[in-house]
Amino acid sequence: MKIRIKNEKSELVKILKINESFGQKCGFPKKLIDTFNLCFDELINNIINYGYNDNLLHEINVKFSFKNEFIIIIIEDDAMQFNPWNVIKPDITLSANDRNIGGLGVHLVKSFMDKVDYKFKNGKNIITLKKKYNPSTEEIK
Amino acid sequence: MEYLEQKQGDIVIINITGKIDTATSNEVEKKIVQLFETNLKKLAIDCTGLSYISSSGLRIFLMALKQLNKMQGKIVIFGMNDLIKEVFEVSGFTSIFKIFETKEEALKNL
Repeated sequence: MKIRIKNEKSELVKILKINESFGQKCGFPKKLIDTFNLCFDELINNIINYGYNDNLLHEINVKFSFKNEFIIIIIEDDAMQFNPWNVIKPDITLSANDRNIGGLGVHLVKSFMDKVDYKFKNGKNIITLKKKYNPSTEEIK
Repeated sequence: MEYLEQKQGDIVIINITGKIDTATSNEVEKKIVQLFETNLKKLAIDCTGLSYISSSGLRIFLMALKQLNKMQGKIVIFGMNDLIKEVFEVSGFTSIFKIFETKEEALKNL
């Protein structure tokens, strides 16, 4: 399944809704659907808010596929070259008062996915997320 | 996202339903900041109706904790689902927040 959105804040809600209806149609557990929503919120929000320094409309493409027990999500954009997986992991052992929230979003996505990847090709950022999913062994929640 | 506040003695219990993400976090933050203007010292957050919290939501929880620490206040959280528990664990928030399964346990610890 392919979804095309614009680089506008309001478009994020659109992708969350499509993910929810697609996930329900595929019979994904609610927790898995919410996990993908969380990842979209972190990654696509970064692209829309920080990826462009012009005021033009751009397209962000999201593709869902399945392969060898993996759900594969590919996010493709023509924003500035940026590898989210290079963001420094925040120190999660600090006391509350010394804590900073920077970098936590990407860290969450990395933790919840089984594999993540990044490529810059033909002027496009290509982020790949892979999540293992076997409906026969998955507990339905 | 739905936000409800309830007073029980000197405790304020807030109940947030839906999700706390980029689209809803500003609204939640505004409401909690308003609460601090009332000299609040004891805050309980009911997550029973919450699906998930993204990092923009975690930022608000951290802000509330820092604010209450400054005012010698207390904050407790209860009713988290598995995904929110994992978000807290992965972020290292489990060690800085007091988290309980039920409302009764949470309020006892305020």
